Amino acid sequence: MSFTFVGIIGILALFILIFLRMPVGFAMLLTGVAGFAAIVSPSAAFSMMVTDLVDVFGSYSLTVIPLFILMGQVAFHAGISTRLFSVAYKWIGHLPGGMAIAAIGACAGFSAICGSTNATAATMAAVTLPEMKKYKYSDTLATGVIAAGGSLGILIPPSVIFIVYGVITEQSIGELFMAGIIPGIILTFLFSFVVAMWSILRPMDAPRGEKQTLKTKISSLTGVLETIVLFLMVMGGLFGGLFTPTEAAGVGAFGTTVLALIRRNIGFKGLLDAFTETTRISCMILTIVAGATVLGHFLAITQIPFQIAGWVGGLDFPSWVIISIIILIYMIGGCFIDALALIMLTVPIFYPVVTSLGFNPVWFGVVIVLVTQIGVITPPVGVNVYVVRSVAKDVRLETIFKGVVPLLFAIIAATALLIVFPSIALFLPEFMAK
Amino acid sequence: MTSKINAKTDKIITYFALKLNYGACITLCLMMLITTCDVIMRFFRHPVPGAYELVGFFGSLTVAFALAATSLGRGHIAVEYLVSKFPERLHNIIERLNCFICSLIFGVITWQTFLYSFGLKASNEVSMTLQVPLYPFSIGIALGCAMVSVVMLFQSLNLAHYGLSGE
Repeated sequence: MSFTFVGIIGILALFILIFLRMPVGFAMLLTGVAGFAAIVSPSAAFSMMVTDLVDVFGSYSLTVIPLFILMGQVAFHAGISTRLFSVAYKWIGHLPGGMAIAAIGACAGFSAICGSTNATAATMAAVTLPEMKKYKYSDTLATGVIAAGGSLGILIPPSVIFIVYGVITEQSIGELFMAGIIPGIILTFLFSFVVAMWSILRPMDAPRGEKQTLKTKISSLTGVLETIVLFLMVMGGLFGGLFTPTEAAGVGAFGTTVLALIRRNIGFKGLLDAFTETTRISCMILTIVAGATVLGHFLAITQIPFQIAGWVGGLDFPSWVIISIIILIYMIGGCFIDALALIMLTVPIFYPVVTSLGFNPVWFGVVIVLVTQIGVITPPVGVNVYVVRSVAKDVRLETIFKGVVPLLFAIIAATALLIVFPSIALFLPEFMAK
Repeated sequence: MTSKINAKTDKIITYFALKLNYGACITLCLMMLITTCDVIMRFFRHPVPGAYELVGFFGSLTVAFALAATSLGRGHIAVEYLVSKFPERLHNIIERLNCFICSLIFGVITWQTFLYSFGLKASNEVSMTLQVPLYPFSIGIALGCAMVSVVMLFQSLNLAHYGLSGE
């Protein structure tokens, strides 16, 4: 039996286990160990598995994940998200679809201190949906906006997906974070544009809010101060070379906690909830990373990733056709598999192809994040839609999926822009490197 | 009678998983504090010695100690799409089988991690900067994995249902 054949059997077994609802991380771990044992030996496989687990769980570079998640969780429990929305609403609530655009702005703001798409969607759904309901926004628009807006959580830094991509491809996490900023701002504007158009075409879906006085608007700005301070402290330190990503995350989590305690926005229960939720999410992510590491070692000895890279690289197609096929695979895959799991499974295979074709790895990271954003809001897996549904219990899933359709076009447009103009992502990292 | 035993087992498993998760919260807090102290003290040219090592060690314990609570609360990512379409009976059988296989995997991981830890102890492996023994941290990982194995075994026997979600 050739190594490649064992590898193919392993990949098939992995997909069967995943679709039979075995947790993705555990399925990758099992397949990796079993495959490695079949090719090398059971004792070597066990030894590799333990070393990988101890290495991943204790990896300093991966400790950035729990610390950034903690920062977002404390920010949520301290009510930062509510204040962000309140400010955005006071400034633009009177415009067509103003409250929904304010919700998108608040999602973008919260994404600047939270690295997870589901956390952003859950937080903003809890904060903004009752308000939009009060002002008689249609369920389709309100829930669709939050599900799509929440996906900004993985594009605007900090971002768990960028961290994981950076670790597996050995790219600078700081550069990836920087590369996500301009696409994140563009996507925020595109989302807002779509909502404005929607509200103009169907005004009954988005009644206008009251216009606020200039004094109220200006005095409301204190509500964004803490987010700006935290973002500047964390990203400034990171981009300025003062901190490593882990240090930036640690300082960010500490700063958020201290600010929340000083302003008496969080009590012991809130802090405990933030910590327990952080350990749960971090454990879930790092289990997938550990499983993917074990699986990666198995696939490496089968040579499959290199064979695929060699085969695709040798195809007589222009490189843009190949990259388009890869993007299409991510789009389809994202509909069925969670974003993180998909990235852990596929990046080791596609990354060598992309770099051999001469594409910039940082740019590719941003493209992948954008494409997986589509996955988190499209059926059947669309995690963000389920998250929003868990808050808006009286709204049907179909209604939310219907609501995200117009906003999907915004993500597709942003992806197309990024493919045509890679400098959208690369400008900031290159500028900062000078 | 059976439901009483189930409820009691559920309670015990949940109790231990939650206590271990509180341990994860403490190590997470230590990670945050050590990192911040290190950054602040660096400005005064007195960084915390071995901060990177300590953060890595506590990181490993955070994940390991949270494993059981995450499994009990069904917090691991899984693809529900296909199985949710199956009849309930088949759905339950697959769930239990999955839990049993995962329990076995984590049983093997526990056993192997203990062996690995004893190897580290026997060879007196210490960390580079602080020179602290490495084996207590890998034993911590083994304990976390042992607890997952127990949780999964009980889930496969349908004794520990949704401990955390029902708390």
